[in-house]
Amino acid sequence: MYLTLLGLNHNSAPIDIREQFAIQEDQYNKLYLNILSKDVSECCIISTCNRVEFYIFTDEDISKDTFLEIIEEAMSVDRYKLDDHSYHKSGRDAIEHIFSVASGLDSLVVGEPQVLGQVKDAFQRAKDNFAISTFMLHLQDYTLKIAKKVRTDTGICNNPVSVSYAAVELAKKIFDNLKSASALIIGAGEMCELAIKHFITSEIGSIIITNRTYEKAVNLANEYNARAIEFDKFTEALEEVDIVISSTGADHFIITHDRMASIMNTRKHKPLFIIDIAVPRDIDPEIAKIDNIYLYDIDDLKQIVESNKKNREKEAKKAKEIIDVAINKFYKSVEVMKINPVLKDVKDFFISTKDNELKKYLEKNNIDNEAEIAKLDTFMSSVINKQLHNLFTNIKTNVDSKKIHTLADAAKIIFNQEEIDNGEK
Amino acid sequence: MFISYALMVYILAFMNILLRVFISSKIAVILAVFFALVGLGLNIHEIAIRYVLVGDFQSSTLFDFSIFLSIAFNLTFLFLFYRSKRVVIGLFLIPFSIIFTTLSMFAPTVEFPSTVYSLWRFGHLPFVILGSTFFIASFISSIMYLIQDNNLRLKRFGKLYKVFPSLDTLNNINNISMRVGFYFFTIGSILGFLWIVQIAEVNEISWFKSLQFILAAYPSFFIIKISFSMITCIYFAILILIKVKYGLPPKKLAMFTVIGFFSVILTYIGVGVSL
Repeated sequence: MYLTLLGLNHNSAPIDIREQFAIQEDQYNKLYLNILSKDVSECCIISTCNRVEFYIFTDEDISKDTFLEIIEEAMSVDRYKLDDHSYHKSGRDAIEHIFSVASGLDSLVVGEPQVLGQVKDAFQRAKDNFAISTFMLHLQDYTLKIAKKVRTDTGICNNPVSVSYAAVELAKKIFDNLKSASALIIGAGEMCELAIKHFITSEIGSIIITNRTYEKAVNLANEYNARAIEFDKFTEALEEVDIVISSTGADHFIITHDRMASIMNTRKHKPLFIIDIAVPRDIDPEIAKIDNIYLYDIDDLKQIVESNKKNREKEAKKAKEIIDVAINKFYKSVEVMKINPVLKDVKDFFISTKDNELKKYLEKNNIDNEAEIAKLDTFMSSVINKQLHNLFTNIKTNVDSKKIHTLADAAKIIFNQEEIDNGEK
Repeated sequence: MFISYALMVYILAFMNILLRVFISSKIAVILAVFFALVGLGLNIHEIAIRYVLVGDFQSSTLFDFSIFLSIAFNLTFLFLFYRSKRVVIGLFLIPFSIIFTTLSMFAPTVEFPSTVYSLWRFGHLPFVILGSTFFIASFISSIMYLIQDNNLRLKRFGKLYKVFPSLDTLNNINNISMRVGFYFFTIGSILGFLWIVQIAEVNEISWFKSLQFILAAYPSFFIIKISFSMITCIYFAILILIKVKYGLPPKKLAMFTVIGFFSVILTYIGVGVSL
């Protein structure tokens, strides 16, 4: 069986091309049927905002041209456009690619966690469409296992690499439990919305949104189950909340040092975490000098993000080492899978021989006592199982050996009689 | 023999805390707490053996004192873990258990016959020791708070920033340890006074005369010890009162805790100097 991949991603194709090849939920069924009708044994399609990839198992190795032909006919797309922006990988390279994708190494933001879920969904969708069986299921198990191992054994996902996520992670270093914390969002722009999403994911207690255009605040609040307040009332909210994120288009400070000092007295100096992501800044930087206020601006957060990106790149090297080891193991396990039917035939042969020989022996010696027959059968089965176990273990251990042996040498390896000095002949 | 086992399990507990703090191993939390509990059991077993052998709870020898201290640090860790669900404080408390368990292995175990059999004596020592270990936990968490606060204000995101928990957690640990430390230390001090009263009754003199006699016999010991234990109790009573009644920002509470801890230190320096 040969694994081949054809795909395009954020590195190979611009967004307008990726959009043309993006697959909608209702298209999968037909697509899988079309691909499987082209001498393809198993197929899995991974489609996310950053990539569309087709993984197929075939009896013979297929070229990029053949693969493009299959996709052209299955999707009715321009094969030349796809050819210009796609990559084609097979065998080891294809396996390395899917392991890297699931581990987040091939993502736009290295180590991003969502891709693992998307890969898992892709396999499930393929399963629902009856497009995968033995080999692809085995690849799925390995891919998900390796991706989890990479995430557990390396720090690839540890440090936030987006400004809004970095803000949430910083908040967690001040407040133990965001469930009992509240946030005030000043502004209703894209950055504020992203921060709201991250806070909701972190299960923050409550969110208050304010904006100069009150309707925008209300719309955003309705969308995220938050509370909207009028812009001139936000200083009152500052007395209660724990986190403030500000991103307005104001050309002056909307929170001054003196105002904040008086608010802190009312708050009894309860810690306040403020993130000013506006340019020009919304918050007087002098307020950072007030005790129990932790003020960060966009540059501080970008600095954190840059440093975290460097850390992730270092961790990516460790992840690649894990993947390299995993590819070898995967190959070996596939070879074992391929030989399993042969081993089953060998076992069946031994069992039928045992049954025949036992039958002859019983007839010859006129044995009809059931207890004695059962005892003999158990004994012979036990001898066969023990011999076959050793034999099969030796075969599985050497299954991926590329050396060519004489039959005599192969028998020695299988029966583990002695080391072969030089197997290459 | 049980002491060497106790030492071993405390080291294992410490190693698991390191694993939790530095590589975020989840199973390490369970193992750390398990080993700390086993160590506690082994230490208590040692005290029970001593009681059976001597027929009395010994407290005057370095051996028994070290075991008491080892138990106290361990109990403080377990209590704070139970309340905060964080093992990071064990990074600083369990090493004390390791040190005192090691010390007890080399300390003499000479038994002193009790002059006056007093229940107050049995209460005084454990309460004062536990109070002090909770004050130490409070001091450590305050220092950690101030370091973490500094990291956040100066935007220094180094190793300590990553390893230390949130300000909220550190403030909670400080709060709990300070209160528990204050209650235990105060109860221990009162029991110490009741012990003096009992000695006076046995000798058929007034407690005041008994105190005068002790002060005259061991002036530096008791003057420093009693003065600073009273200062400690009063200081922390005022601190708790202000916090409860008027509210105290976490950073100020951490700073005052650090200052207050020096009176605890001076109490023990008083004990050390006189001995």
